[in-house]
Amino acid sequence: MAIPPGVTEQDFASALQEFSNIVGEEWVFTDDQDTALYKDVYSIYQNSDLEPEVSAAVAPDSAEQVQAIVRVANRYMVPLYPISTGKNLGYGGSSPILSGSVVLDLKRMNRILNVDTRNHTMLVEPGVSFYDVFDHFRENKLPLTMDIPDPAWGSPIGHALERGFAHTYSENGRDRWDTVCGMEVVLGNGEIVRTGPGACEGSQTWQDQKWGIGPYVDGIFSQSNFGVITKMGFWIRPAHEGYRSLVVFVPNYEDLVKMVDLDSYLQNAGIVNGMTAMGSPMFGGAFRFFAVPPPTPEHRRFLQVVDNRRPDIAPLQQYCAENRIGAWALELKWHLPNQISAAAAEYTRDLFTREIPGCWFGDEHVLEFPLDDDVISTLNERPGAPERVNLGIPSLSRFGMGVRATGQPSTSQGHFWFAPMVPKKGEEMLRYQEVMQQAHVELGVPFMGSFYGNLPMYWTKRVGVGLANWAVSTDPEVNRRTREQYLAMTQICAENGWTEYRAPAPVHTEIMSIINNWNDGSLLKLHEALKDAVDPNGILSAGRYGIWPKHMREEMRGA
Amino acid sequence: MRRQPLSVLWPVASVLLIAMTAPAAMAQDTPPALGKQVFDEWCGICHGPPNGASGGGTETLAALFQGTDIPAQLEDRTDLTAELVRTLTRQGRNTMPNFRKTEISDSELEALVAYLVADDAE
Ligand SMILES: Cc1cc2nc3c(=O)[nH]c(=O)nc-3n(C[C@H](O)[C@H](O)[C@H](O)COP(=O)(O)OP(=O)(O)OC[C@H]3O[C@@H](n4cnc5c(N)ncnc54)[C@H](O)[C@@H]3O)c2cc1C
Ligand code: HEC
Repeated sequence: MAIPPGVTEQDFASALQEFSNIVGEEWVFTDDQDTALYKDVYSIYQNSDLEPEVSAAVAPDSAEQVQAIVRVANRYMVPLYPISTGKNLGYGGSSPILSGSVVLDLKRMNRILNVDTRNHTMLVEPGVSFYDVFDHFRENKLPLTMDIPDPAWGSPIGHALERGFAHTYSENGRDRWDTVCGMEVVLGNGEIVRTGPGACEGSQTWQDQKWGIGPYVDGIFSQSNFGVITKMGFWIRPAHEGYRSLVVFVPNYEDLVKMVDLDSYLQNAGIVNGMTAMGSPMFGGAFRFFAVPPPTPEHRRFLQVVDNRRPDIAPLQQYCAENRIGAWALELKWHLPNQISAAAAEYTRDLFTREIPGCWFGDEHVLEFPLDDDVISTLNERPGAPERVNLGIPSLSRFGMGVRATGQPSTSQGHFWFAPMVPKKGEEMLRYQEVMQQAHVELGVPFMGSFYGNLPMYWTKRVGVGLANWAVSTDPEVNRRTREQYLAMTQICAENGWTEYRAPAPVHTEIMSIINNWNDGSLLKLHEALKDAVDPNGILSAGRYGIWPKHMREEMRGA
Repeated sequence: MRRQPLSVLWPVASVLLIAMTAPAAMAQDTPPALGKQVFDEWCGICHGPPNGASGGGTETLAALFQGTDIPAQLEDRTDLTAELVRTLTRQGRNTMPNFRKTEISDSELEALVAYLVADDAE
């Protein structure tokens, strides 16, 4: 059994005893077999000494119990690592960063506390998953929906605290943090607070308005380690009425710039309100989203990458013109009553036809809600079909990536995501491709899919996420190299002004200092000042997003 | 279009207070029925019919067992052992993650085993 660093065996035993008194013996896990369940199964530290150990896990059932646990932890200086549903796979799973920490597993706190069907808000506990929310709406016939990320077994709260992304609405939807409205937090020092209007006893608007009176502090609890969130409010949506998607193909390489600007116009003016997908049929990508066939062997001949350079445009362009293959494609989605989206789609067709001569359109997909089960069963069925995740219907579809499949005999051990934000300008997107092409080759990183065929993902309206993914290995040496490559890519991107929106726990400390370099890292000093103010003993989630307790700072980040 | 106007569904209360009851309700069921519930909640999402929305369990097992007569969907198997189901649930394998006891308790795991494992394969 592991012991938290700097804690005597006797103090740890006393702390565990007190935890048992608070939550009941059955909810304190100390057996090696049980604590091993908290390791990150996708860890790049697997089979090595660097893999953090979990000394124990405690699973409370209420905010009062959380507060009592945090107070005991402060008394014995026991480091805690809170998780909500603990499914942060690809970014650290349920594992702490500091070896020897006690995991505070909030999965049992799984109550949906309030649902307001008229103002479209809800208040939930940390253990509530997206599946739970969906089932709750359906079983109680509540005319509501909520944007979901791909892995629907995660929690609205864990997702929000990672500032993760979902897949449906452009406003109050995909950007999870944007939908957070009011929270209850147990601070590292054991104090409990409610934010926004909730700071008034009996507030009647806690989930209706994000800011109350005075400083707006909610943001400091995301991607940080200042408190344990025990309740969080969210803005949700009236149930879907309609769905429409439309694919635009543009003929020329140069059309990318205009195509992207038109998308920004439509998104930022509120004419389109769903998640945009972009890619390049010409460069052999994107056929997953756009129902275009994969490149033929003849087409592939024009796609040979020689000397790490983009294939010659002129012959490729000519081949594509002769075969009516789009240089770029853009999929637009509307989540609106179909009567309204029909007019918006017509406007959009006119706009593109006027602004990009020679563009053409794919089929429109239209769905009318509520969806019958036989319609639901056709979603995700083939490339270009509407996807469940875009319609708030939970699944785990993207876990199918990287698995052993026909024609792909080996399987990955897990995912390790690299997610830099790329400016939403066509010319910058092309530059990003060039820089990343060079970086992949220089660093020896395997390419994901058809490189020039892919464009960033548009979870947010104004910025794309240029995802790259390493397959995790059972071989520690391969994983060590992965970690080095990841940090080198972070450095290259930062030098170009592109920074990550989120990162896996094993690289938090390094990437925080690579990225936050302006004015000698003054932002990092502010993070540390906040940490020392609300969690002076450094009890919570040591090392999360590079924020270490005062007494470990020198050792852990050389500061 | 809309099924019913909102006011018909919720004439009085705008705010509902509904507690989640799933895990407690499950415990009263017979083991195979509980096992089926656990399977649907935690396993079927990847090991269900291969419809492009499942998490890849069925697809990967189809590739693994290609050329044999072992079915790709776990619920169609007659050769699963209790040991294999327990080990995979607690340790995972490749992209299949493991499950903690706050997700699937020991008694729920045994119900799952009772549901998936044919009597003569125990
Ligand atoms: C194939 C695949 C697809 C994915 N797709 C997406 C996607 O579409 N969108 C997306 O955003 N992510 C995606 N991810 C990443 C990730 O798996 C999900 O975001 C996941 O849902 C997050 O897990 P969770 O909600 O269980 O959070 P948790 O694991 O519970 O929490 C995440 C972290 O937040 C902190 N935390 C959690 N709860 C608390 C609390 N109550 N108090 C204080 N701190 C807390 C902890 O540090 C914890 O480690 C994907 C991953 C994979 C492997
Ligand atoms: C995220 C998707 C996912 C979920 C959820 C999941 N599995 Fe799996 N499962 C897989 C994958 C992928 C494999 C194949 C692993 C490999 O590459 O060998 C697998 C393999 C298995 C096998 C091995 C079969 C054999 O004969 O080798 C068993 C047994 C199994 N899973 C049981 C379960 C059970 C029980 C659950 C629920 C508690 C579950 N799985 C949940 C994805 C999943």
